[in-house]
Amino acid sequence: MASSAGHPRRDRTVALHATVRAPASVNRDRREATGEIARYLGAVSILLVGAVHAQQYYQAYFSFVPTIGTLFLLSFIGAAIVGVVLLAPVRRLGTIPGELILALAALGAIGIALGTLVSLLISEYTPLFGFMESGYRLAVDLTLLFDGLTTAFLGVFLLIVGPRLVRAIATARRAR
Amino acid sequence: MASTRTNKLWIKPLTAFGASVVVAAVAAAFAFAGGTATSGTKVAIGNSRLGRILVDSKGITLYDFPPDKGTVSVCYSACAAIWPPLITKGKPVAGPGVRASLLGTTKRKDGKLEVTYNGHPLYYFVSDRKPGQTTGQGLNQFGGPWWVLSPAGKEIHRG
Repeated sequence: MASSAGHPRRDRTVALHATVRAPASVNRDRREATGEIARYLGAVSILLVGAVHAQQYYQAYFSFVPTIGTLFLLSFIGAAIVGVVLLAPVRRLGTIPGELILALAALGAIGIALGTLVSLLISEYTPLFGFMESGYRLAVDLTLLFDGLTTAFLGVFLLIVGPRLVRAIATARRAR
Repeated sequence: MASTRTNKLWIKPLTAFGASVVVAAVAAAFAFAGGTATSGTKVAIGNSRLGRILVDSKGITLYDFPPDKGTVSVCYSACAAIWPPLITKGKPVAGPGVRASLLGTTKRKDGKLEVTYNGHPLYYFVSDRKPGQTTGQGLNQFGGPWWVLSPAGKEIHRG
């Protein structure tokens, strides 16, 4: 209030700057928020992919299925690791290390999701490592759903974080 | 005029090509249909550590599942993925030692025909990959034990 009364010209300038900068800033904030929401939703999705594989391995006797059973277990372990990393506050390690870890975890999660999705679709039509699925049962439907969601959410996250990370690394190199 | 003559030049080869494609497609369709519609799955007898048991044409062990309701299978979803039913597309064929009178079929929910023997729907176990393997024998999965069958169609409970 005091400054408004004391320096009307400066206030007008500040207000003008605020008007000009607001859209870019708002867009950046929105992008950040979208990235964070996508990251957490992607983390939950890949954890659910892992949960379905764990349930199938331990409760639906897939531990008895050669090769595929082992792949289910590995998928569960991998999904749990990348899911936990994506939820962890790794940015506390620093901007570049934190974002790099998140980007790698997101890539890993997408790799697991796409690998699972493609393998599942193949095994619906032809034996894969000697195993063929028996139709689109609930566990298959859920896995396909969570695979798709993981890929979509973490794809959005990477599209937002990737360019920023590349810029940050380039800036850090120039500063050296 | 010249262009009309050129167009006419293409008509014969194009027609011949089109006709040969149609003939080839029809022949392939007949061959495919003929190859799958009438083939009945063969059931045979094989040797294993449990004695002479029911196997498929490649010697892979077949099992029955006591919780099945007579000839009606209760094994679907994850169960059918781990214990795939023995499917046939025609009347099952009895190999040497197999009693043809005990062979039959039962319709599954998806419309496929599953082979039965002495009233028991037959299944593979996903872990059996070679002739003579009986890795599913006695396993308690999906609500009951799984047993191999003798040539007489009786469950073998040892092993």
